[in-house]
Amino acid sequence: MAGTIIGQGIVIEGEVTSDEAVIVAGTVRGKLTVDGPVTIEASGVVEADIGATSLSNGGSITGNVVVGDRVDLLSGSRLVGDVKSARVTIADGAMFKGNVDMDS
Amino acid sequence: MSGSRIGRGTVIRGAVRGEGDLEIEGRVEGIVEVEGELGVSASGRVVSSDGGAGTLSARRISVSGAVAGDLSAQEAIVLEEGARVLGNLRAPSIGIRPGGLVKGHVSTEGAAAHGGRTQARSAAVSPKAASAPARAAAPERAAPPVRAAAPARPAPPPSRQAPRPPTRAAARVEPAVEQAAPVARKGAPAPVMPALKKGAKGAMKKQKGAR
Repeated sequence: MAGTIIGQGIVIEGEVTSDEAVIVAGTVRGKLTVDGPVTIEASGVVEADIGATSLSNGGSITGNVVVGDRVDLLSGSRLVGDVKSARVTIADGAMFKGNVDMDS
Repeated sequence: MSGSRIGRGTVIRGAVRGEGDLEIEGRVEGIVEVEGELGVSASGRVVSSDGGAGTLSARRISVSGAVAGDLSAQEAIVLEEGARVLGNLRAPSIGIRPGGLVKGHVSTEGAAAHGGRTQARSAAVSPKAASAPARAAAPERAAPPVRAAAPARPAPPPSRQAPRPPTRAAARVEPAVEQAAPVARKGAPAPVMPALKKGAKGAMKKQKGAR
C-alpha cells in the first residue's frame, strides 16, 4: 500500500505536495498539489485549493479544484468552489456550489 | 484514530498536528505534533520550512531517518540504526541504537514530570536548541572523521606518495556513514590489497629511471 494517508484526527496546516496517491481522512488547510489521484474520505475536510490527476470526493472541500482527468463528487459529499476538469460526475445527494469548467 | 502516513513522494510544508499515529516516509518542513506514535522511516526527513530546525512531539517517537530539530516525547524516543538527528532529545526514556547519530542535548529529565513539560525545563533547554542548528549543517559530515579512523589502513610503506592514499580512503568512506559498521569490516582486509602498489611501482620506476 503505497502513497500518503492523512488519517482521521490529523490536521495539516500548510502546503502538501506529492507525486503519489493521497488519501485524506483528516483535515488539510492550505494547499494540496498532487501528481496522482486524490481521495477525500467521508471524514475528510479540505480547506484548500486542490490540484490532482483525479479527485474522488466523499468528504468536504472548500476551495477550487483543478484536475487533469476526472472529478467524482460522491453522495453525501460537499464541495464549495470552482471545478476545472475534463470529466465531472456528481452523485445524487452530493452538495456542490460553484462553477464547472470542462474545457480540456 | 487510523494510522496516517506521509509517503515517500510527499512533501508537507507547515504544521502536522492531531491524534493517532503517524509514519513519515516523505519530507516534512515544519512542525509535527501527534498524540500517538510517530515514526520517521529511513526515507523520512523532517526539517523546518526555512531550512532550520523543525520540531517533533509525540507520545513515542521512533527515528530511522533524518531530523533537524528537537524531539520531545511523553514516553520514549528511540533512534534506530541509520537515524540522524540534529537537535535535542527529551523524553523519560531515550534509546539510541548502534548506528544512530545525534548531535544535540539529550535529556531524560522528563521522567519525573511524567510527560508534563514544565516551563522551566523548556526554558533551560531552548538556548541550546537555538544554537544547535547553527553548529552543523549536515550530520553526515560531522561523523566521518571518527568513522574514517577505524578502517584506516596500516601505516603505508614509507614512500613519497604516502600522504595521498589516506585522503582517498577518507573520501570513499564519507558517503557511507549509515553503513559505518559494514564499512569498518570491509576496511579491515584492505591492507591485504596493497593500496599503494600501483603508485609505489610507478614511484620505483621513476626512481630507477632517475638513477
